[in-house]
Amino acid sequence: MLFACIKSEQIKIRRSFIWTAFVLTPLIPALMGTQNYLNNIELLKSEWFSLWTQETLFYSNFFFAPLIAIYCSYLWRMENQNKNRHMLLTQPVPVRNIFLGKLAAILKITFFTQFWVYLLYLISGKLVSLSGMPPAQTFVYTIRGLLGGAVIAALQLLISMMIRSFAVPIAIAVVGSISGLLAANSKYGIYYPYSLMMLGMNANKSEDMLSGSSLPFFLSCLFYLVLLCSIAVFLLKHQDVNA
Amino acid sequence: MRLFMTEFRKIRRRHIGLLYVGAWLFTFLWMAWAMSTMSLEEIDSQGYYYLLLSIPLINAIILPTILACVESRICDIELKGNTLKLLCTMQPRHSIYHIKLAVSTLYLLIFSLAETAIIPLLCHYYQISQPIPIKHIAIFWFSTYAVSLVLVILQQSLSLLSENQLFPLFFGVGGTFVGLFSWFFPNLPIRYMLPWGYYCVGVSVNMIYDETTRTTTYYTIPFPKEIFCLFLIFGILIYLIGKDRFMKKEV
Repeated sequence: MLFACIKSEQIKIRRSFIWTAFVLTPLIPALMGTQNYLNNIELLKSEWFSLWTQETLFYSNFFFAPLIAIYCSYLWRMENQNKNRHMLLTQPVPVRNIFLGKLAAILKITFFTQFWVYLLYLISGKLVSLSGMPPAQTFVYTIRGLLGGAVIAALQLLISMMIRSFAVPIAIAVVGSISGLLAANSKYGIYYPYSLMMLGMNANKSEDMLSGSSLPFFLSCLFYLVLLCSIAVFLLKHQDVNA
Repeated sequence: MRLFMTEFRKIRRRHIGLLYVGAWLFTFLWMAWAMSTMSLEEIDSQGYYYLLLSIPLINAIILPTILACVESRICDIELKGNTLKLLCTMQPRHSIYHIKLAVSTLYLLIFSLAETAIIPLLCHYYQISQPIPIKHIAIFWFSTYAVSLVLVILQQSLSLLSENQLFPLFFGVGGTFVGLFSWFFPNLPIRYMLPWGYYCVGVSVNMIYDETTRTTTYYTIPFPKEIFCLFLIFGILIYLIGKDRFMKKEV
C-alpha cells in the first residue's frame, strides 16, 4: 500500500516545474563557489576540501531549506485545491502511508539534488584543474547532508500540511535556515532541525564539525524524523479536513 | 478608493503584515545581536556606517524570498478562487493589476520606513557618538524602497501570469541566490546585470579591513545615480510589460 502511495505521488509531480528547478538551482552555487575559489586561490590551500567549502557554503546555509520548502508546498498545494484533501483522506489507504508517500517523493528529489550537487562539485573541480579525485570524506559529507536534509524535508512537509498556504512555509524555511546557521555555530546546533543539514554537509569548515559527535548527530536526525512523522500522522488522523 | 479597500478586505487574515513584521524583527534582532558582540571602540565612531552596510546585505538575503511570498499571497487569492473571470467583467482589467500594486507599495513603504528606523534606534540604544549621517540614511531608505518596489512589480507580474505559484517562488529564491552572490563578487558585473544585485549597488558606504591591525574602517562612496536611473527605467519597463501581458492574459 505504501508503494502505491509513493507511486501516486510520483505521478503527481511528473512533468512539473520541480524537476527544472532541481537541475537549474544547484548550478548557481556551483558556478559562484568555483568563482569564489578561483578568486581566493592564494588563501585556499586545501584543494578539493577548499572547493567543497566554497560550493556548499551558500547551498546548505541559505538555499537548501527554501528549495525543499517549495517542493513540499507544491505537493500539499495539489491536495488543498479542488477539495482534493477530502478525496485523499477518504481513499482506502492508511493515513500514515499518505504522509510517508509524500515524504518518500520529497526524499527522492532530495537524494537526486544532493548527488547533482556532488557531481557539479566533481566537474567544477576538474575544470579548475584539481588533481586526482575528491577525498572520500566529501562523499560522506554528502550522505550526512542527505540525512540532515531528510529532517528538513519532514519538517517542511509537516508545516506545509498544517499551513494551507504556498508561500508562508517557504518564508518560514528562509528564517529557519538563517537561524539554523546561527545555531550550527553554537554548541546547540545538533538539537536544531534546520542546522542538521549544515552540520552534515560540513559547510565552510576545513575540520569536521561532527568529529566525535557523529552518533549524537545520527540519533538527533532519527529522533526528529520519527517525531515529525508521528506528529504529521497524528494530525492527519485527528484533525478535521476543513478544506 | 473603494477598490483599494476591497483589496484590503480580500487579504484580511492572509497575514501579509506578519511576513513583513517577521522580516523586520529578524533584521532588528540580527543587528542588535551583532552590535552587542562588538566593543564600543570598534563601533563608536562608525556605528551608523556599520548598519548602513550590514542591513542591505540582510535585505539581499531575505527580501527577494519574502517579497515573492507576499506577492504570491496577494495574487494567489484570484488564481485559487478562479475569480479573475468574474473580476474582469466587473472592473477594468488594469485596475486589478494597479490596486494589487498599490497595496503592495503601501506595505513596502511602511516596511522600508520601519527598517530605516532601526538604524537611529540601535545607534541611540548603544550610545554611538558618531553624528547622524542623514544623507546616507536617506539614500539607504530610497535604495531599499526602490529596489524592493522593482522586485515587487516583477514578482506580482509573474504571480498573476503563472498558473501556479511554483515558478514565481523559485524565481524569488533564485533572486536570493543572485543577490547574495553579488556581494561576494565585486569584480564581476553580476550586481549590475540582475535586479536583486541592486541592494548592493545602492549602498553608499564601503569598508576596508586591515589584516595586520584587525580593524575595519568604513568610508562613504558616491551613490551611483546614473546606474540607478537605468535600473529604475528597467523597473518601468517591467511594469509596462507585466501590465501588458496581464491585460492580454486569457482568464
